[in-house]
Amino acid sequence: MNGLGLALAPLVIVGLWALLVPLAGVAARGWSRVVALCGVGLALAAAASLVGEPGLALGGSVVGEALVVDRLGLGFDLVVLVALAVLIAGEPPGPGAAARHGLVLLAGTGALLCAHAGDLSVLVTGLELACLAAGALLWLGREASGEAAGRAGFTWLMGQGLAAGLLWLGLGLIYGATGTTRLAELGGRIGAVFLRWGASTVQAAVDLLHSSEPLGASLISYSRDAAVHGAAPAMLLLPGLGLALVGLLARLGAAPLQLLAPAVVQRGSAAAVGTTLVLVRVAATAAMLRLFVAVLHAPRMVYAPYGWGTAAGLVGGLSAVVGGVAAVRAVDLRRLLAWAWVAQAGLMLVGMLAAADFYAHAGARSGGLRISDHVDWGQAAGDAAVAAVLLCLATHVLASLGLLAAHAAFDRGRGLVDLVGLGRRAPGSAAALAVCLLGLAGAPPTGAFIARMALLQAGLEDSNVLVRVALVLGLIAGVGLACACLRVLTLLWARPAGEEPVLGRGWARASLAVLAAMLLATGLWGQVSVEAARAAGAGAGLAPGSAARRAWQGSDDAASR
Amino acid sequence: MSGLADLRLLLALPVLGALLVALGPVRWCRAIGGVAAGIVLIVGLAVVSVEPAGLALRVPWVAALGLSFSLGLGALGVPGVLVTCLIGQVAALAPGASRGSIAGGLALQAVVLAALLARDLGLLVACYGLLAPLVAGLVASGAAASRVRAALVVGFYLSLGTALLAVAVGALAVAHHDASGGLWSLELEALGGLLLPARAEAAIAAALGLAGALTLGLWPLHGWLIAGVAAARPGVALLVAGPLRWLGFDLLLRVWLVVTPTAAAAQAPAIAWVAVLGAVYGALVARAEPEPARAVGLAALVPAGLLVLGIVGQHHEGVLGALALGLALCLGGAAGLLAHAVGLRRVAPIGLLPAPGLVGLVGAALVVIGTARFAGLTLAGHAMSLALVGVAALLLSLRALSGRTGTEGHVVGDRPGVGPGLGVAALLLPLLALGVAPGPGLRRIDAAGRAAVDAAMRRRCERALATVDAPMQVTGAASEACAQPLRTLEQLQGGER
Repeated sequence: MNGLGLALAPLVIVGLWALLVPLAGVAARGWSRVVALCGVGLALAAAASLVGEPGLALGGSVVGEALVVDRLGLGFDLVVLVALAVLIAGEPPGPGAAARHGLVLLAGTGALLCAHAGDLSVLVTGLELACLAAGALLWLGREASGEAAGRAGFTWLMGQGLAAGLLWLGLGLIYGATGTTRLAELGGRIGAVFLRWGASTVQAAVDLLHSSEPLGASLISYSRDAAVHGAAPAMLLLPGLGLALVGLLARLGAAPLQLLAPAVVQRGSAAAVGTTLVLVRVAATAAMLRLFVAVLHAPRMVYAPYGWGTAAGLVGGLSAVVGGVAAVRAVDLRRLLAWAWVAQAGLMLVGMLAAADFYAHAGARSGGLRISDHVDWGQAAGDAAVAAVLLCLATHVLASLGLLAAHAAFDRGRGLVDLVGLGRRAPGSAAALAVCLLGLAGAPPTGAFIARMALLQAGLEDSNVLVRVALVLGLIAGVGLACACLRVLTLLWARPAGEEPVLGRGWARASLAVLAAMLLATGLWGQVSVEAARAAGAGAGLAPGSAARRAWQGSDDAASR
Repeated sequence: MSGLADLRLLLALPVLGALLVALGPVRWCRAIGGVAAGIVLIVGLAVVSVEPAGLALRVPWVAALGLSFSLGLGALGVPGVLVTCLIGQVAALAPGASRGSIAGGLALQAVVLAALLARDLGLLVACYGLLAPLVAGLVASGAAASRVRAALVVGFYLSLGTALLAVAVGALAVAHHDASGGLWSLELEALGGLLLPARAEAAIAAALGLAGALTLGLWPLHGWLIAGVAAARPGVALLVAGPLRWLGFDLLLRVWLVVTPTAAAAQAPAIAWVAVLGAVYGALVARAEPEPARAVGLAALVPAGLLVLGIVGQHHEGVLGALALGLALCLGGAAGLLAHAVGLRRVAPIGLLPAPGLVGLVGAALVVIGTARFAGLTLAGHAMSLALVGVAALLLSLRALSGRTGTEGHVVGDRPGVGPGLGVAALLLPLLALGVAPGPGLRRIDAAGRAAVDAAMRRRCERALATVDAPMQVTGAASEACAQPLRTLEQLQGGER
């Protein structure tokens, strides 16, 4: 481990604490939350100390290239750690609390592994760790949540198992085709696969096999061998990519692969729901960015007929529309949140496709730009799109955690009815919840508005019509989500049937206030938010520590000077 | 007085007032709200009394995205600021107001003022984004389920308008980025200097036009506004029927007409017909509507239709007429709602009428002149549209003379107090003053109206002369050739024929 290894401190701390907290729960019952929060605080301090670290701009590989460290990873670290802090703070001490806290930390470890993945095996390990921890949390809370939720949870887990199978199979096929699991090598190997497929010997062999002339047995055999050797890797790679994409989209919760998530989250414990909705989605987003955007962005890999772009764009647009429209009927904060995540997954997917398009030098304005300028433009625009996705994710996570905290504080099992008149009973909490709802809808003055503007600019700059249409449709369908948020907002200040005492847990209410303040701050100091996101996204399309990234970093610095 | 002419003060005061009302004692909230709105009105008068060119403010917000707090007041914005401040004052003292509605009303006033003064379209989108939660919250304030339903309808349509505006502004920002070689800007001035490919301009104009028509409550997109006005408390209804509506008009006049003039001209005939049909529909349905607040809202479709007719013609007289009708629509509509709320039923529709001695007649006359010079319609079309507008105005007048009052349940009190009566008078007085002596008021905005139309014409001329395959900025040669844009356009159209 070199000097960059210190950047893994948050991951190491969270991983260690995931093992330590259950033990601490056995030794000192009732203290598991404090111990877990101490660990998260330590990891947050370590991550905060790395902000501004110049070495992370270039990044690099550690642990035998299995993990990478760069500013994108650090950005994800901060998002995951904030989520962990809120989820652990919201999970009260009691029987089994240590196990629950440990599982939340384990899910966080999985998400952090995805954020730092430099290898397919690490990527899949991180994802599975996050999903299994979420599943275990749902399982632990099955008695409290009732039979229906238990069935939904089981179905969801079956779906996730299927998604895991598809993902593993897909990644296995990719490994079979390329012979590597290192993300830094994967791009080059895939290029070689296509070169081999398109080589003249392969085509000649295929032509021979298709010819009507009688051929000798040895020639037929030789031609078959040549054709199979040349084309087989590609024949493994293409279905592998498709399967891996489906597996990751299911983890991301994109429609129609949301797999009963809205039904599952309605009754699970706060930690289970937070892990399912937030940590698993953050892990999947990190995995999508690390694998599909940062590595699989060669033009042939993005565009039809072999690329993943068309499928991702269609699923993204569908997801944004379905999530936005379905949110209107949500009768509970958690269901609203689940559909909001479906819509958000769609928008982020479109943003990721835009980033990959830019990295693939899509929409070449070759008429007006020199080739070198064009490459620089593609790189810069791609980085901006990645930054927009990251900002969207961060603000959505803050808003989601705020809503979960509000649910934990004020819900008594009656859905939105519990929030009626909250503005009169607890004006501060109601105002904080209102800010989080505005953030969920992408409205000003929260940072979500800035994030949507950044995403809109990135998406519309892309000349890919699918990206533009999907983004515009998604934003217009977001009106449904805005309406759902407005319905809750109007209920907050409605007059309740009778005066009810303010019920609410202190931790949850404090978390809600802090998260609302963070959402407001990201909006009011939008320039700082955008700059931070752009710093995290800089060079995301290039392998951390690579010569290309060093060259890009140098030209970028020169341009900024 | 000039010391008060500060845009920061104009925006900060209502916010401060809203905070004081929200945090202060309940029994003083009405007084605090009234005083705050009164001070805002004084500052508003000070702002509009100085030379508008001297009032500008620019504070960076998110430079990386081209967003800034860029504010400025042009002469075309003066009526909007006055309408907002005046109605804000009356709304703060309107009957039936609660602490929440007074505080929310002041906050809404601040947002509307910021939108009217915004010279950065990103800031405009942000203001629109705040409108939906604010207005929905205000309409829903109270316990009635009907209010919550109406609030959701209002929230949906305002959110839709915001989404359309955001998409259009995003597209304009990208176009500017491409045309300028990588510079992000959302400044109205910079975006107004762009020449866009025909399809892109048509799509952006359609999104902007729809957003403006939605906010203005133009037929057939008027239902949400009428539902909101009918359900809301009187003070909130005034703000929705007045300043909020003016925002839609402002969007059409300041953005749609200036940034996408060619597409606006191409879409004008269709919009003109929709506006005329809407005016006739409003006049007809208002006559049969038993509920007073809804009747006023429907009657307001007549000046709204006329107003749009004035804008789409892209003629100087039409724009001036539209501004005059905007005053009739917003102040007259608000006065009508307040009059109904306090029991002054026969007074209610007066402000909306194009009658002698009222600004509505001045506006209608100017719009008729502008429409007659509107090149987008055939002679038969002119005759038909003017006849329809006349029918609409006549129907509305007949409704007013019939003195139908609707159901009693919507009236707050049968005997008007002195305060509400004064409020109605304060809203009607400017309409009367401008109707009797329109000269000084029109002269104040005359040059700006001419400049706006000239700029739109010049951009259309430049667009017609240039081959625009990708977004570009205006070239010097095109600018010189369009020194007399109308003549050049007529020559070009003659050549095409």
